[in-house]
Amino acid sequence: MAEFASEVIPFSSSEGCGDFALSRQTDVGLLVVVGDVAGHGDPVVGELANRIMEYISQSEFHSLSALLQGMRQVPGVSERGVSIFLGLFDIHLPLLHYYLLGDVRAYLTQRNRLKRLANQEGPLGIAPPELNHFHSIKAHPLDLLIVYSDGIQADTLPKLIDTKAHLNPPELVREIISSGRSEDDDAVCAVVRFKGGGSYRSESASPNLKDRVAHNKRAATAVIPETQANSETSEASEVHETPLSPAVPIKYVEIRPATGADFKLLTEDQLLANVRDVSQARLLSSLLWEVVECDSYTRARIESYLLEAIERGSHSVELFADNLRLQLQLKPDKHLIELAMRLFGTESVRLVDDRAVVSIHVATDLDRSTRLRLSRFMSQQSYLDYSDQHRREGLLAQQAKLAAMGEMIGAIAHQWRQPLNELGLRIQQLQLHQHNHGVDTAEIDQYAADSLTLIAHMASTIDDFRDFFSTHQDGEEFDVAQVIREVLRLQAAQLNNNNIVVTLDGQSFSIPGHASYLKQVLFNLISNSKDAFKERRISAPKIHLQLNPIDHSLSLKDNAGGVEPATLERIYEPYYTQKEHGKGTGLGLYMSRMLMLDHFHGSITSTNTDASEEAGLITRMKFGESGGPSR
Amino acid sequence: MTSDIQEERPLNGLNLVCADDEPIALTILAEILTAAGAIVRTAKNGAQAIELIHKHPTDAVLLDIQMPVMDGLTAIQILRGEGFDKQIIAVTAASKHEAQAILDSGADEYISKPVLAADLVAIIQQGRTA
Repeated sequence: MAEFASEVIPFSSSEGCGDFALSRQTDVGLLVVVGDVAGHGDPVVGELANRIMEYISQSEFHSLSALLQGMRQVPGVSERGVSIFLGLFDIHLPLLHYYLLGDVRAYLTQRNRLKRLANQEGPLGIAPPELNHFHSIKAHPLDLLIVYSDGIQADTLPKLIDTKAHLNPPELVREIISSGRSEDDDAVCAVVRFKGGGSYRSESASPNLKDRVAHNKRAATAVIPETQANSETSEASEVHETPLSPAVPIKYVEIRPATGADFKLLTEDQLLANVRDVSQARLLSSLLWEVVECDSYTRARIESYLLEAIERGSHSVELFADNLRLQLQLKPDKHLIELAMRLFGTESVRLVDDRAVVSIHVATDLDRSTRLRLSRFMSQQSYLDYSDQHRREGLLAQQAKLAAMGEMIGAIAHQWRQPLNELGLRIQQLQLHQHNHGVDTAEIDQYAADSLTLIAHMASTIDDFRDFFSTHQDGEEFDVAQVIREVLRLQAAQLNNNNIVVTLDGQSFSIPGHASYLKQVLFNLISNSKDAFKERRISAPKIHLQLNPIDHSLSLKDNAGGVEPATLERIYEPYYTQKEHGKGTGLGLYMSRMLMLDHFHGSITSTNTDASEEAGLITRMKFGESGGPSR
Repeated sequence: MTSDIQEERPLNGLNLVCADDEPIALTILAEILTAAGAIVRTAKNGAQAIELIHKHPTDAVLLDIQMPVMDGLTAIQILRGEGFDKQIIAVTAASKHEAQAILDSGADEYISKPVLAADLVAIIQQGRTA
């Protein structure tokens, strides 16, 4: 499939060399890794490089993203940082999938045209994981992949390529090193000559589909049509030139949804969902991208095809995915078939019985797909359950928003109370002065300046509150401590009036998503503590907020006396409130939990403080690595 | 309205204690009530107000409800507990629901912020004649 050659030249000794290169044949293709641990000449650097190579050589390979994720966990990676190229020549398709992070250069000679592969911010372990993007590029027989570290001058290959492209990989490696090596760093160069393998025809076959169907047949609500599966497997044996990859190990998952019924279905390696109308398609496609990685062009093609299919009456588009392939199945339609051929290539479309099958090669994230499937799209029935639940959640969200706005108006009243009173008194004072001894220009000017300051303060309060529910100005990432301070500023009047002391500790960190959603969560939690302080007449009320940048968590602890264990179990249920009638809706914590789960892909839990501490409640919020618009 | 206050000095000679944690508002209120003829002593919180009442003859008390150290509600309960029977006026931005709780705790009247001097003077006058 490919010929690999590499060479590493240490700066001083091989024990202190942080550059490395290796290749490995996996079930899904040839894996190529070229890395450069930050630093050189230090045994620590060499040890880390060895640990990474050992991890790559010995870990079970599922996908590039899983490997990248695993490499982040190798001890030392997050302290040092590693520039890395991680590539996979696909066994089924003439494609190179890759991640390229930090100061490593990679080129592909596509039919003798030199193409530099896209670098991203790095290095691994230092740059945030969400900056690591996955790429795929077409590879042709005899194309060369050339990767080298910054121990080789950056422009070495472009200068050589016209005269040296004919060399075999070991010769080319030596030529690049001898021409471009810097004298003050470790150097590594790897060259792979792609010999072909994989074809777009083979994509239409699904190598492990037979296994999947066999298992799904045992499941109560399997979703892949058996007729299609039989057809595919027979076709697969004819068109594959390369050995079929073995089936992904299959696990059964038992789910007990809210209805109490048991579902046992689906395998570890597949997803997904039925798409029923356009609005839900948008919803589903937004969720789809949580588990499917592809470039924006492919994504746009898939989305437009999905919507086109639904608009043309294919009300039941089914999506399946494994770790390398996404399939769309739908009722046949001449227009749709032609469209699919234009968008995804002639070979991507097959007709099986009365269904069109469009296979698109993308990457998926199995962990996320599992999680998503567990929570949502287990079967047709659970999908319908989901639809109902989605409507209910929408209603609850609306009610919670109204309740939050009520709280907000209360907070505005408190914020405005003082300046409004002062403004009124100043006007009356001016009248009094005018009557007593007349008012001169200087006093009028002072009065105007003081009054305008008060009015500006009131206006800015209104702006703060207006922005509270707005999501349009939110960026992709925000600083958590800054959001905490904004919320405390909004509630300053109420906190001061109730003599509540708030402390914030720990180093801040940034998370992706809408800042306003976190504001809502914090507003709810602080309001609850404040109400508990008032109700229980706590003499020295305190709230402590603790940031933890290591695990991206935030905790809020109060000394309001805590909550009964039986109540604690239910506080995140909708409509559950312990507050006096008319004072609580029972939606604040429920919506907070929804926002933490759905938007921040994290969690929120509450416990009573330890017996050694003042009695109170601790609420811990943990943020996931990815957050973003999901509502 | 202020001119009427000034001309008539309707609170002439009345000893008042005013408590508010906002110094500017407290100063201006004291100035307006002084102009109406009252002798005004000011406090930053409920505890200071009680101290002033213990030291000086007092005909009426104006208490902000939300104050640090000791809030107005607690101060009212302490004063009534001690047998203080003069007029207590709560100054608050509270809702009607909360205002009822203030009256139940022993206040004679409550007045909403922003405070209008004429209303306040009228309430104090009513208390004097009641």
